[in-house]
Amino acid sequence: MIRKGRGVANVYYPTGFNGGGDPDLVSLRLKVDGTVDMTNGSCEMGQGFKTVAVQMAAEALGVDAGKVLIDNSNTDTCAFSMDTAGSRSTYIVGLAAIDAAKDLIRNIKGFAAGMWGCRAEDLSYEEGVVFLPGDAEKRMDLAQVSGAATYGGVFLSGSGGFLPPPAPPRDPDTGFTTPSRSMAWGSTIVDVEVDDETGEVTIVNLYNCYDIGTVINPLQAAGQVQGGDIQGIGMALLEDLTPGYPENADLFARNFTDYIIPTFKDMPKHSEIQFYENYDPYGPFGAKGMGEMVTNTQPPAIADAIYDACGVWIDSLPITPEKILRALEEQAK
Amino acid sequence: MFKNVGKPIPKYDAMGIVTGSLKYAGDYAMPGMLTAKVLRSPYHRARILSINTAEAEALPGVEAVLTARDIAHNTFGFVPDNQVLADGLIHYKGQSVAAVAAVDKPTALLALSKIKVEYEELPYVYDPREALKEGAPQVWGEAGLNHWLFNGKTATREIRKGDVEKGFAEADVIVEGEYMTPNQEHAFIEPSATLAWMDEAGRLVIRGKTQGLFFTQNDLANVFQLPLSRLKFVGGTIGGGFGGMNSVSTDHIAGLLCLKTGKPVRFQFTREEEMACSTTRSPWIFRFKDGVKKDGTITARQIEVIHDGGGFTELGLYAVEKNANFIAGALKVEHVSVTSRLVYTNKAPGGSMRGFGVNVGQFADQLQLDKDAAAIGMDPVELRIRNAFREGDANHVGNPLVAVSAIETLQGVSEMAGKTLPPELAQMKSK
Repeated sequence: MIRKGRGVANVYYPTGFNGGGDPDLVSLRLKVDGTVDMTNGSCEMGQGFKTVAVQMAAEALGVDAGKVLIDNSNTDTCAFSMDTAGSRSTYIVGLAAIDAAKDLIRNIKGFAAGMWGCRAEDLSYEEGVVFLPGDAEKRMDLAQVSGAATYGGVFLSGSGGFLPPPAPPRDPDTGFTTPSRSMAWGSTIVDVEVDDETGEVTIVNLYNCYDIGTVINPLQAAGQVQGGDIQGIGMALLEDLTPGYPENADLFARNFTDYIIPTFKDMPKHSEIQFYENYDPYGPFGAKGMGEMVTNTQPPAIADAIYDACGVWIDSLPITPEKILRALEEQAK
Repeated sequence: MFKNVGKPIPKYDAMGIVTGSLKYAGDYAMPGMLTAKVLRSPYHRARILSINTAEAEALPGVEAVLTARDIAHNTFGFVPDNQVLADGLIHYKGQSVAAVAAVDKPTALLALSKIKVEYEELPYVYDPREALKEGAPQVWGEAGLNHWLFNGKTATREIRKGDVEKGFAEADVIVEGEYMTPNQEHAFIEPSATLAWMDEAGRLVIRGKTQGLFFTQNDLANVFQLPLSRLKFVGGTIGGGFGGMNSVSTDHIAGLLCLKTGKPVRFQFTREEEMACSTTRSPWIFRFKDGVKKDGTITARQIEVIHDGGGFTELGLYAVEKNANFIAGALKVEHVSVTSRLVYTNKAPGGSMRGFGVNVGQFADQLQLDKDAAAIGMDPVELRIRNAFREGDANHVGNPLVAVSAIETLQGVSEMAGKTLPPELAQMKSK
């Protein structure tokens, strides 16, 4: 018989390293054609780091994202990054990029002021154009600025960084500390079908409502959530290197024939994503970290739904058909 | 308002990646490049009595054989107690014992078969609860060290908020549960790979796969005993990490073999090595005891955590510390106690994996909440909304919370799923 159930989960997740103190730096160089080279040593591993990095740097410079290129390729040429982990890159690199953009804009104004014989503080910079308000003659876009600077023997660049405040050491009595200033929040509801003859679980509907602050790139954010769904479903129902654990020490899986990860067939029949954009006062443009939280809500929601469907608690992951059938057998006694 | 932020800009390099123009570390080759292979321990725990590499070294085409005694600085890792090659005591089955660089893969594999290692097989421990018992096999060889010592002194990390006994006394129901999460593989598409060479200026260049260019550069500089300025790490765009590439798998051995031979060396994991020998999301065991009132108030949470860190510390300590800060859930509870242990066992070390230390705990925390809800006959969404953090609350380690959305995301997801909340719950707000 097919039994139906619904489960819920609600979590929060810190942005950045546990306890902060994890800086990143960004450099921006104005090229002769008016484009900008950004460097930062964070890793692109499919999550879309490069896209959001250039989007945020471009935003801070008021130019189109297509005007910014990024180099993250090696330790010689890239500005320092602590690591690409802990849901930190969008947030910390974004803040470092904003800082570097301010520096570049300051240097652009200084150069233009020298050219025009005016004071830098009288100049304005908007949308990639430096100008003296009220004087239509004194106006240059980035290509004009960089052409004049480069062939004038002046290198225009900006550098910046951001350090999340380091947490105090844990209180010796209570263990209290401050792991992170910014938190993402998320809730999931899942509908499942459990076949009580085979123990097979089918994910029918999967609804996610996540607050990752301002969504920098909705396309990539949705991609992160879909990947999170798949990895969360794998964790909930399939993935285990050592199913005999803790009694048996031998590795079961040595390849993807034995170590089953979800495929398209295991995706929910229906899934929806909604972002509740609660502006973060500390994050770049109000953003929070998101990479990890989006794979955390599925396993408990699925376990809850299985209980709702057939009245058995499966307390260990993954929730295999064998565990469900054994629990149902126990329940029937 | 924003020019770029909030726009669905297509991925920077997606077309190049999906059409195969991106080269991964393992795709690169150089003239005269050697192939590296590693001999691994067949035992979970054993003492290495002797290693004889003479026959392997004499094999035509073999350029170098390494054992721990050839390595000046044999340790690495986030907590740097992991060993490049096993030194004396084997901590887990599959641990690297010796490395070979040869002209091609068949020669390298043949050379491995010629290395004679004499082991004394020893009893091993796999269950972290057994590892904590007196008389258990000792992973580090010394008694009483099967667990991390916090502040150099105590076996437990303790968080104490309020008084859980007081909370339990106020409760109508006590709900208990025990939860376990398994060994999970990152299962990224690109296995660990490194190409190491000496450049024209005599610097060692590592083209590898890491999530932390500068962290790995620093870790490797110690192993190679090189100043940072003599070591360049090239990478940046990799075929998936999910946390697995915060730990070094192939860079150190490839680099050492390159330094020894002066020739380019490529070392690439097989999928089997990736699953058996590199870090995993290693297991956790959680015990929860909640005090619950009939109106849904959670009066107390007492949580015991055991993290099976495997044979070396790697990122296990970080995971335990982070877990302790979030394990009590996104809800306001007056009395909370968390007691956590990092335990060593004879298995591959635990590394970081997406959701690192936190999502394993959230599986336990959330399932326990569902049991709480079932115990008092309350809807699980309602129980969560009633206990949810609000704006300006502090979590159970005193972390102030801003831009809080526990209630709003629960309301949002309920609406998406067509679940009607009673007006009182539908109108609640975090602020």
